[in-house]
Amino acid sequence: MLPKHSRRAAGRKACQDDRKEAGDDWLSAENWAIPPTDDDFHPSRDLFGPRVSGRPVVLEKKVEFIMADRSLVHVAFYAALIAALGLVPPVALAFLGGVPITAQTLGVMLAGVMLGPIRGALAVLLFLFLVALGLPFLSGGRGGLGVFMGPSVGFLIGWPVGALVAGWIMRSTRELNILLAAAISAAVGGILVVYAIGIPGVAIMAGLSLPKAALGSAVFIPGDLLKVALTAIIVQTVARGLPSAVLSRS
Amino acid sequence: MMSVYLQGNSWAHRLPAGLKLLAVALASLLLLQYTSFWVLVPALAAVLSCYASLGRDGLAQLKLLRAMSYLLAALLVLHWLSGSLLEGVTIILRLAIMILAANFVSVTTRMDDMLTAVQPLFKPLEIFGFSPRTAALSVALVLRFAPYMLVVFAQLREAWQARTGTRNSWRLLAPFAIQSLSMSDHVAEALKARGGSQGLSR
Repeated sequence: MLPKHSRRAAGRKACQDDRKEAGDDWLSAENWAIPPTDDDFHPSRDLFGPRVSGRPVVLEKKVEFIMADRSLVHVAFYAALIAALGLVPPVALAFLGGVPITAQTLGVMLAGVMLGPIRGALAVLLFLFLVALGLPFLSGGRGGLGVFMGPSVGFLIGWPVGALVAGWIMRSTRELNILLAAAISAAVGGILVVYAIGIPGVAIMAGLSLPKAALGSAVFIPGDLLKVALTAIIVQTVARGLPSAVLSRS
Repeated sequence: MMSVYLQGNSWAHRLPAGLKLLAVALASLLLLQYTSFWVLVPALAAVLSCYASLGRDGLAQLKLLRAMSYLLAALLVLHWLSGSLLEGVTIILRLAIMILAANFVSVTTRMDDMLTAVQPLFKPLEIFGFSPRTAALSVALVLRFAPYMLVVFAQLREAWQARTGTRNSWRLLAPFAIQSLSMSDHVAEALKARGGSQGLSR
C-alpha cells in the first residue's frame, strides 16, 4: 500500500487524466488566468511596472524607490534569518563524525536561492555589516571586528559570493524542478564557491599549505550537504505555500 | 541591546571611533610583516593591557578568544602535522593578537558611533541612488526581525509540544518559513503605506 500522500497524488493525477480525455480541462490554470490589462490596479505591477516577457520593468524613478523598499525589507528579512539561525545552538550528529554543525550557512543558502543573486548577496553583506558593527550574530555568539581578523574570514567573504552564485543558478534554471534546482544552487553556491574562497583564506591567514587547509575545512562538508537538503525542502515548501516569496523565480 | 559593546567611560571609550578603526587597521597591516617573538609577545602584552585597563569586565571580554580557541587549536594541529609547529605557534599568536585588537574596538565603541564612523564609506554609493537612510533603516529592520523570528519559532514549538509531546520537529520548518515570510510582506506593505524608506516628505 502506498503512503497516504502518494495515494492522494495518484488519485489527483487520475482525475486530471480523466478530465483531459473527456476534453473537459476547464480546471486547468490557463483557462482561469485573467490576462492583465494596463489600466486596472494590480499590486505587483503597481510596484514593479507592467510585465514585459515575464520580467518586471521599472518605469520611472518614483517606482524604483518603491521597489527598492520592498527589496529592502526582503534583504533585511534574510539578513535577520541568518542572524537568528546563528543563535541556534550547534548540533553534533554522530553519523557525521560528531563535528558540530551550525545552522548559519543554511541562512546563506536560503538567501541566495530565495532572493536571487543581487538581493541574496546584499542580504549576506548586510548581515556581515551588522557583525562588523559589533553584534554577536555569528554562531557561537561571536561578533565585532575581531572575527574579520580570524582564520575563517575567507568563509565570511565567500558567503555573499556564494549567495550570488546560488541565486544566479536558481534564476537560470527556471525550467528545472524546484527541489532539484534549489539543491544544485545551494550546493554549488553554498559549498563549492564558499569553500573555494574559504580554503585559500584559511591557508593565508593561518600560514598553512592549501591541501592542509582543505583537509581542515573538509570536516564541515557533510554538515553542509545536510543543509543543502534542508534548503531544497524549505524552498519547495515555500514555493507551494507562498509562491510569491520565491523571488528568484517570480 | 545585545552587542559585544561594553558600557563604560574609559580612555578607550572616549577616543573617536574613526581613529580607533584606523589604528587597528594600520596595526594589523604592520603586524603582518613580522613573525618574530620579539615583536609578537610585546604586542600581545600591549593588547592584553588594553583589555586590563578596562578592569575586570574588560578582561571578561577575552571570551571571544575562548569561542575561537577550538578553531585555533585545530589549525595548530594541522601545523604540527605538517612539521612546522614553531611557525604555527607564531602565526596563531599573531592571529590571536589581531583578533583581540579588532575586538577591542568593538568592545569600546557604541554601535551608533561605529555607524557614524563608517557612514562616509557609503558616500560613493549615493551615485547609484543609495541613500544613507536606506542603510540605517535596513539595520533597524534586521534588529527587529531577528528576535521576532525567534518568537515565531518559539510559539510554533510550544503549540507543537502541546499537540504531540515531542519538543522539536523538522515539520515546524514549513509553518515557520511561511509565517515569517508573510510577516515580512506585511512590513513591506506597511512601509509602502507610510511613504517608503524615504518618507512622505520627498
